[in-house]
Amino acid sequence: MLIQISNGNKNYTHERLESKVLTNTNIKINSGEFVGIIGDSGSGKTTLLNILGLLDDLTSGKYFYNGIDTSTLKNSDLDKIRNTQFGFVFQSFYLLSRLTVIENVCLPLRYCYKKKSERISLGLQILEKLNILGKSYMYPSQLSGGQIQRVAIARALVNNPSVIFADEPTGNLDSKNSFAVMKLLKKIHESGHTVIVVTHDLKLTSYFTKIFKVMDGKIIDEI
Amino acid sequence: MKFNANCILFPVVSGIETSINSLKLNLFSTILTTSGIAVGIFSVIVIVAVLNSLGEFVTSKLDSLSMNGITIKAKTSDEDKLLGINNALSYQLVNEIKAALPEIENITPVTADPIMVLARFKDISVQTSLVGTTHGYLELAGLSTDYGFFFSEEDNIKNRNVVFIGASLADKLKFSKSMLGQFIALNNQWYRVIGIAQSKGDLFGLDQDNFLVVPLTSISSLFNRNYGDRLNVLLNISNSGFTKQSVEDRFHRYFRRNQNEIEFDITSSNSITKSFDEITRVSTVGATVVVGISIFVGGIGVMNVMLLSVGERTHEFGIKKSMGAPFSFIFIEILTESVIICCFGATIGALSAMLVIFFIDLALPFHITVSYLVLLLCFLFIILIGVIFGVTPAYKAAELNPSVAIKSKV
Repeated sequence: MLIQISNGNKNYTHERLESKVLTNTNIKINSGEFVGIIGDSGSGKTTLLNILGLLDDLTSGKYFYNGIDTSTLKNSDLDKIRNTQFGFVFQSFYLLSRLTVIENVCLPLRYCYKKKSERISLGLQILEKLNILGKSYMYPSQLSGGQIQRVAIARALVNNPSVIFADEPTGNLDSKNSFAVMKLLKKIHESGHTVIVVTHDLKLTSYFTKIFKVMDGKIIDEI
Repeated sequence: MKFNANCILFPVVSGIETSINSLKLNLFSTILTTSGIAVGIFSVIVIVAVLNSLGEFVTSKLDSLSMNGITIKAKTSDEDKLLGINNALSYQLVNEIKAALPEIENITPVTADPIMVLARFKDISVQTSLVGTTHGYLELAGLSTDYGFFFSEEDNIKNRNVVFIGASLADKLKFSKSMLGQFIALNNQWYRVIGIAQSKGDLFGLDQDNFLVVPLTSISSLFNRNYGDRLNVLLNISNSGFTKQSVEDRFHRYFRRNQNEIEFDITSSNSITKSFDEITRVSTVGATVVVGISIFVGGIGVMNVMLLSVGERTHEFGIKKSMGAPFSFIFIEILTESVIICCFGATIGALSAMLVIFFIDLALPFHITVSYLVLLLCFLFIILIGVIFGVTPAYKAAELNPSVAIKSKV
């Protein structure tokens, strides 16, 4: 089992008011699956993705990654897992505007202290695979939405992670680019990566090998 | 655990890159932010350079005044001064000192009171100061002969009316080297000019070359007054293992034993230089403390800007943390940015200081030099300030929760 959450709960407290975002969540994901987490806006699916991606922690319950209870890990261990084993693709791309495409793509490699020449080489390889090599030295502001999302996917892939987390990856794209991005994610999945996608778009369900439906902080269905 | 230098090098490089980008985008605001530091560094460099150079200048001037020797003067109390009494040493005492203290290499009496006299050559008259002394004075007073020669022991013994004149007095009297051997009038008595001194230049605006030196024996007849008991003493010690301090101590003991009724001041170049060094040191420390406070305040300004910058870039740190940027990486990155901003201000301050020193150098009578050590210490101090005031913003950025930070408004 690659990922397992047992009786996971997540609460947020704001001005002494506590709100339950996830309740009694149980998830099991095996290596190599293409998982879709679908639900309406505010259902808690992004919070679930953040927890799965170790960007946030559970209020109660257990999260096991590769059989290790993540609550026992230090922050530096969590950073290392995020850096070497996870890749993230966000709805709003989240590229750094002051960096060029290649610099953005190579950013995760800095945090595992790879030399500049190695970083550039790996970055260019991944950009070539995604057919955006020609944009390497452009700034994100010079690219279209579809190209930017490709760069974001390249950044997620550059460290050759085990798991790719994508939060509404097609949310800001037109249908043509959405299709291209999903096709790309499918290809990534087929190359052996575990891909976990959060979406509210039911048209995308056909891509997934496993689907969790989330409503009001609860997983109501697993297909 | 094995130390990995990349853990420091990578975030430092990243911090430098970010800072350079930030400087390009916000040059003017960065200059304003670091103005406190720039002013501080500017002040330190200028003040220290001027004080140090002034110190060196004064020391060299003191050396040129022949402060290698020791001067002994009789003290006169305020009560005695009111009664018209001015204590002085006698010619006899000079000989006694010489006999009692074998370490003395050269000793000469000089007239104790300042004597102003009107010197006349042809139709030119110049007011000047007169010193009556013996042949040993030339070396003890640090004078050297430009033309002619200084008077001899024989001139003194035979009470000859000969005079050695300063360079500027010679200029004022229009007395050239070819005129050596001619006479000038002092109080209507004729004195043969036998030598002209080499110029010593000005000291704090005072002309050091407007003087006359005549044999001590001739001065009494010049003024119809016995100067044999109106003397100070200039002397040099031999290099036979005595230190100036030990000789000074011996003099004090000698005078206590033999001259109970009169007190003496014994000054040496040591004591004068020490006093001046002390003044310079205290001034430098005082100025450095004031400037240190200014730099400290400048550092607070930098911290404020760094906190604002971290606040504005919360989203960026969220992205970096989501990609696994460790706490230490972001912490060092921000510290580096803080240090770079401080160093930027320091560089502006240092360059401005160099420019101002260049112009001050043109205006002052002495050469001002900037010590590399001072520059190095300034930059080390500024790096320390950058680190100290970067800690809070760096910690704030490094400890951000990635899921919250990434959602922060871009």
